[in-house]
Amino acid sequence: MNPKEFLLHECRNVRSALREVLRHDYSAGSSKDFYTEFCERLDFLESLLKPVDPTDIRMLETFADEVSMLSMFVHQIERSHSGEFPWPFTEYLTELATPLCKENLTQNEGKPIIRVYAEGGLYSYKINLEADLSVLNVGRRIFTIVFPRTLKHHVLLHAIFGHEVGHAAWTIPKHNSDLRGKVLGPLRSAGPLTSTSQATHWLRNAEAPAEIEDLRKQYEAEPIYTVVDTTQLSYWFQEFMCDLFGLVTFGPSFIAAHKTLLLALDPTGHRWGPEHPPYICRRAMLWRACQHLGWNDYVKAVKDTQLRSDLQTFLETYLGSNAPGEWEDVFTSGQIATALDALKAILESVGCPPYALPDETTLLPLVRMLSDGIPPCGSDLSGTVKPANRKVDFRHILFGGWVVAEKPAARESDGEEDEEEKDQFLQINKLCELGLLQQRAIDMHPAGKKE
Amino acid sequence: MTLLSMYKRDDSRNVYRILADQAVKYIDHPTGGSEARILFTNLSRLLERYRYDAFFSHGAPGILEVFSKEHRAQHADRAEPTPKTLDVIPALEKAHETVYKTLSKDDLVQRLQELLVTLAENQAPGESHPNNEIKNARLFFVTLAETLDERRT
Amino acid sequence: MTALEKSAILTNIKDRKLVVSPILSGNQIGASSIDLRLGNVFLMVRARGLSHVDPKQFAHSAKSTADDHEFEQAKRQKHERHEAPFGQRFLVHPGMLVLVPTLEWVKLPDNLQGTVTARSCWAREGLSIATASLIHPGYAGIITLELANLGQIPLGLYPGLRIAQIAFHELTGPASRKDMGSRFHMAFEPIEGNVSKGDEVFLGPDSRS
Repeated sequence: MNPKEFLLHECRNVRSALREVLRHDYSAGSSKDFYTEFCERLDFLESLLKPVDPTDIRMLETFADEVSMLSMFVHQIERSHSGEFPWPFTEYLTELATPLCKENLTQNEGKPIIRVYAEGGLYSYKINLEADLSVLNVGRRIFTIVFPRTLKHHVLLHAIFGHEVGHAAWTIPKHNSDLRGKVLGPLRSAGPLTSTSQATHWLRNAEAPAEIEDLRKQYEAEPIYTVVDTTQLSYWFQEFMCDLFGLVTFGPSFIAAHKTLLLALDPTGHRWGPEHPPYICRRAMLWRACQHLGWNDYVKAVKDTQLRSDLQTFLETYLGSNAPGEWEDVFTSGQIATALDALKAILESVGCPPYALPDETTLLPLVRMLSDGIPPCGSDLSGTVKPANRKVDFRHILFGGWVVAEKPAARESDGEEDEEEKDQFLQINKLCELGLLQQRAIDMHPAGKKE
Repeated sequence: MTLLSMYKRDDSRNVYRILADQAVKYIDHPTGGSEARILFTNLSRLLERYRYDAFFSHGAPGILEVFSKEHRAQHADRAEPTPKTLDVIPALEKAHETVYKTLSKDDLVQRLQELLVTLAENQAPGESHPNNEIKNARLFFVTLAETLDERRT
Repeated sequence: MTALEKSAILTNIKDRKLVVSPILSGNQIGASSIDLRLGNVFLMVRARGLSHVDPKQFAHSAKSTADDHEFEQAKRQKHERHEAPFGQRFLVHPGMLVLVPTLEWVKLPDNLQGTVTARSCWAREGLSIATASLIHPGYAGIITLELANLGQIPLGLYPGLRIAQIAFHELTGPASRKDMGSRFHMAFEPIEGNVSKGDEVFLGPDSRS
């Protein structure tokens, strides 16, 4: 069997695997999209491959890569059947992200095909929008959302996807241009990270915290950690930009998920790498961003004293009450304000309004429901003959969850709970997960619904 | 392993040469169908990147993936757009300069995308596009394919 | 024991003693009951999972990791679990028993008991709630329904459909705290019961406990 024959044989294998994929359950109506797309990709690939001369090595190399990529996608799709990830959250996330990730092509080709699967490992949070330049045969791009399997129920942590949506938006050429010019431009215009030499000097700065100095000594033998090059700086700024993305798409839930997850993996908060700046710099940026967004004023204006106190606790826990230290405070308020305003304009231009903090009449019932052990949603609990359920933004439910998660356990143990029942964080996540499902039902049902 | 932790050769030059060659064939003998749609969709994507100068590297890692030792070991030497990807840019510029010198990038891309949509929808381009426009588009893709072929050698 | 009629049900809800959330439409509230909707998880017994239900399997006291593995494996392989988003159908074939949650979260005070039965329109199609589920005072969570198809043809079920109804009965006096079980037990989805709990002594000398 020569290489060309093998590749055609593998195309047939991929087609067979694609049919096998249909054995599983996927969310309603969704298997048709990917099945059609991959059949068409295979048809196109085979039509190009068949006339190729078996001795044309250059062409065969290209096609080997293409067939391999198709095979990998089909395998991933096979793993995307229902049951391993929180589908109500996924539906909300998809609605949020799809307008941002629509390409400027023909009507149908522009819309991505959404696939979701769960992966092992804490590192697994990921959104990938097919964006590889050197791909021959993509019709509609596959938009893949990956959840860590063990955190299926932890919808509060899933707010981290706001950051990943930023990476996906980066791959749309128009957004890429706007993000580079209007968001990264201001961030790169001043401060200690404006150039690679300044960034390298900043790492070695005598004003740096002692932890940074210790890490630099550990990394002495690895230039990749002690000399900041163009690529590294580029990745750092993408991370900063995506953090701002998370903030404007998910609001306070993003801040809480961001701190919880990043510090779990780097408890020092000071580590950096070729692809990420130190957490303390990111937190400093977010602190200033929240000042610009008026969060302190929002909290002060809350009339309910308990809620106001809970919100204050939330802000202190996840942002800190003091201004950031000088070394890590790499952006000015002006830079961040300009970047944020541009980011919000980009979102609005595609019909994806930035997250707006809930008013008290929306947040307070959600917090109370959670405190009473009831899944939070826009359910009317007033006992009327015609329930007037409300449409509630799913991100408000997550926000309410984080506020309650920071409260001390309201109930003393009665000694009869199992391990899961004692785990307040898990219980709140499960209540919020069920709340999202119920909110979905409220959103779908026409009767008695008001905004 | 997540998608982008897998190694893939960058083959942009060859891929776009193939697509440009196919575009010429389809302009000469429009047949439509899903294959035409995929062909012209991928060319439209390339033109969009050219319009906005958005030749970024393949996607960044997930927010937590960067903390993984396995990921760090695999990607210690990641780079911005590779040489083969960057070859595509001067090839596009040359085709632009040769055929549509007086047009801005925006106008060039707009004009070509409209023609590609017509071809992708299996419509005879002559019905909605004047002959010289079709000729120019053909020459654009011929120039693109030839330049990408030269840059290999 | 007095059954609550509509206005009494609504008063209990208004006073936050009774919670049924969400009630999507006014027509879910009947003269003396509230309709309950199907949730999105379906647990069905796997025919090839176990040869039979033996109470001894439930009388578990893990003496080793191997022991624990056997118990957990039997427990997990007994049912197939399907999760169906809204709009996706699940077929219940004749003779099939499937455990499903309600969409609604129900919370009962210590002086009310709930009784769940199938809605008559579904009963006429052959769908039965296998037992009249009794919801004890102090309960909090989704309600697990044991659905059985007693008809001759498969039934298509969609999450969100009104499938059952719950009526409320007032106790002669509030239930005592210790009789109600842990205050913190909240049911998020159906789980299998334990048929041998408290009766291990009757399972023979070689029972696990």
